[in-house]
Amino acid sequence: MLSIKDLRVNIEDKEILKGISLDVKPGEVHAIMGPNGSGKSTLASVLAGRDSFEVKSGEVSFLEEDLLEMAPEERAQKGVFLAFQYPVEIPGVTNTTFLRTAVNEIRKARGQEKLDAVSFLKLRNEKMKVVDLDPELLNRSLNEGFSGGEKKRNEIFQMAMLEPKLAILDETDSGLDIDALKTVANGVNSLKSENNAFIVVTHYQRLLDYIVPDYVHVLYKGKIVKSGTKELALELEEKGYDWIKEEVETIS
Amino acid sequence: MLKEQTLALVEKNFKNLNGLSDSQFQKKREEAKDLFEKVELPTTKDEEWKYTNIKNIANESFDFEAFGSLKKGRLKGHTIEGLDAYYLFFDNGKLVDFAESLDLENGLTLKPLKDAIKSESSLVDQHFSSHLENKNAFIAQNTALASEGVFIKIDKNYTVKKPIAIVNIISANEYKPFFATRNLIVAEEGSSATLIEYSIKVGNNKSLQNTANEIVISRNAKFEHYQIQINSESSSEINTSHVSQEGDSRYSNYKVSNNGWVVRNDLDIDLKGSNCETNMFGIYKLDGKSHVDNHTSINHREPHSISNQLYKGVIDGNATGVFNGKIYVQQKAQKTNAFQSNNNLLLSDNATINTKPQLEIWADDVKCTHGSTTGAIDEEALFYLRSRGISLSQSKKLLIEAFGNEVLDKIKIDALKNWVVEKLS
Ligand SMILES: Nc1ncnc2c1ncn2[C@@H]1O[C@H](COP(=O)(O)OP(=O)(O)OP(=O)(O)O)[C@@H](O)[C@H]1O
Ligand SMILES: [Mg+2]
Repeated sequence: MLSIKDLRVNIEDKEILKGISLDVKPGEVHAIMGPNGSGKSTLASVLAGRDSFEVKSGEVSFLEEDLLEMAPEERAQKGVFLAFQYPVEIPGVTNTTFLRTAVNEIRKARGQEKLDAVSFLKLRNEKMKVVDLDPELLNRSLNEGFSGGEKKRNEIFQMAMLEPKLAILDETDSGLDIDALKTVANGVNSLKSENNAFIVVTHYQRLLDYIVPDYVHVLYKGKIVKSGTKELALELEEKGYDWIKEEVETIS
Repeated sequence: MLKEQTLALVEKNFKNLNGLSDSQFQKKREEAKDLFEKVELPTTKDEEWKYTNIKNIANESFDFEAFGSLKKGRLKGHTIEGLDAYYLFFDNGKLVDFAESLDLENGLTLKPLKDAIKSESSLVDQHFSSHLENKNAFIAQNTALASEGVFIKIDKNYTVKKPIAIVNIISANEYKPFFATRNLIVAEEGSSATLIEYSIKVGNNKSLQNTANEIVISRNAKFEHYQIQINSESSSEINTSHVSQEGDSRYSNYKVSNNGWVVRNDLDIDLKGSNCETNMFGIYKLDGKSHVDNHTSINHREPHSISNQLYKGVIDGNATGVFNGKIYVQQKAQKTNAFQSNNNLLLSDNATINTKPQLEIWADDVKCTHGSTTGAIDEEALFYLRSRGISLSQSKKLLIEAFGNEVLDKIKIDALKNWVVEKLS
């Protein structure tokens, strides 16, 4: 589904991603862990199409198409979704207006009919339950004044509405209380199928108890320095990153 | 050009005085004419006109008294869908089809200024040109030419049931029209009314309108005032509104400006009594080579009044916006609350805004805040929307609308709001 080959990315002449390769198949869950500043959000943003980064080399294909050639909206229309680490507040655009626009723009791009008001509300109310979203948030401006947890929940709600093929969750667990974490994880699990895939960026093993990964990767200084199964996350939880950093330093 | 043509028309008007020659009204017009003869039209050397150059309009030769191209049966087509109002139509500055169309309420007097000079002479003599000073050549011109326009009076404690709509239809197919209109509005104690002014341009020739309102709001009266300027790049407009508010009164002004060759608005509010409330909401949406200049001033003379101003601009292309907002708080005006905010969204590299708040405060126990921001569309917000599948153009549209909605949402009349939103989009 997604294939990243030797991806190198700069921000203002500074190399942030230094040759990343990753393959994600339908039905898989990949966890990406790693110390602060190692490039996890950069990778997520590049996949979603943020243009403040400069891709120096490498290839990314998504469903056999060149992802890097596409505008952000095209990627979303083809099925890529990024749950932002820091969702943006947009005063003056209500959550509902935004969602209806997004749903219909995506439908239009896929050659589907616009959803009429009734069908839209039906879908919205159904998906709201998946993440137990406070209905009051729907009539407020998008993310404006939302608490940290409400923003994260709203990201997952959007994901439920848009039904992406590849969802990238960037630290969706941070800022969530224990109950919210379970709700969000259940939401993700209920959307999981053989046809879609998840990349879950997290610092905490806790989330991975609920969203069980098929693979765990450690990103350090712009490279994937170790990959394993869910046991790797447990080991990191116990021992921290020092042993991995040491391994990297000795090799290089 | 403008000067000579104006003086010729003034001379002509002054020949048909029909018994008015001794009136206070005529004295004021003569004073204004003398002043207009003497003073130059403003130039950019004048601090108040620094960013607005009227040289091109001053040198243009316009058609004065360019009446008669408006077909009577077409007037209905210039109403706003769903807006039930007392409509007054002007054909290049001449009130048309007046008596036939209106069936007025008892507490409301609405008539051509020309008629009111005689039938309401004491009110006209008391108020005409006694609040609005001839502080520049355009106002002097307007006062000297005063003849066309309406007189509105709302009786004590009367609430007018429908809005009054003044519609300036600019017919610029065969003519290059110039016209001046002057409205005098007296809201008596405890009364309440809504006035909507808008223009519709037909044709692409250049045009200039000089319109002025002198508005007197008595104790405890409420007045809602909408000024909707939907212009093309051939339309120029000088609009001056002077509002004088007595104690416990409320005045709200809603100003929408869309494009225009040269548009200059002056809104001057004089708070003569205590415990007044004033709202000034403005939005200007400019593209092409449009130039719109909003000057406002509010003078707090007495204690305990609130003034609240929010002006927002969306500027694209090579357009220029000017905002100058003055707040005066006199020594006596303790416990004044005055807020001002001017925010601008620049959509192109060649879009310009000149913004200047000016506060002069002599009282010590007051709350005054003012702020101004200018920026481009927020890239983070744009990326967020696009990442949800919304196209670049649609994302921009959403963000621009969101920016403007803060002002447009203040419009209390749904039919008017819908019409404005449609005109702006
Ligand atoms: N706009 C930018 N300008 C300059 N440097 C940047 C910019 N954005 C990111 N960086 C740098 O790129 C590096 C990687 O940042 P990134 O946000 O991808 O890290 P991360 O792995 O997501 O960290 P965290 O776990 O703290 O979220 C950091 O050193 C960061 O300072
Ligand atoms: Mg991050």
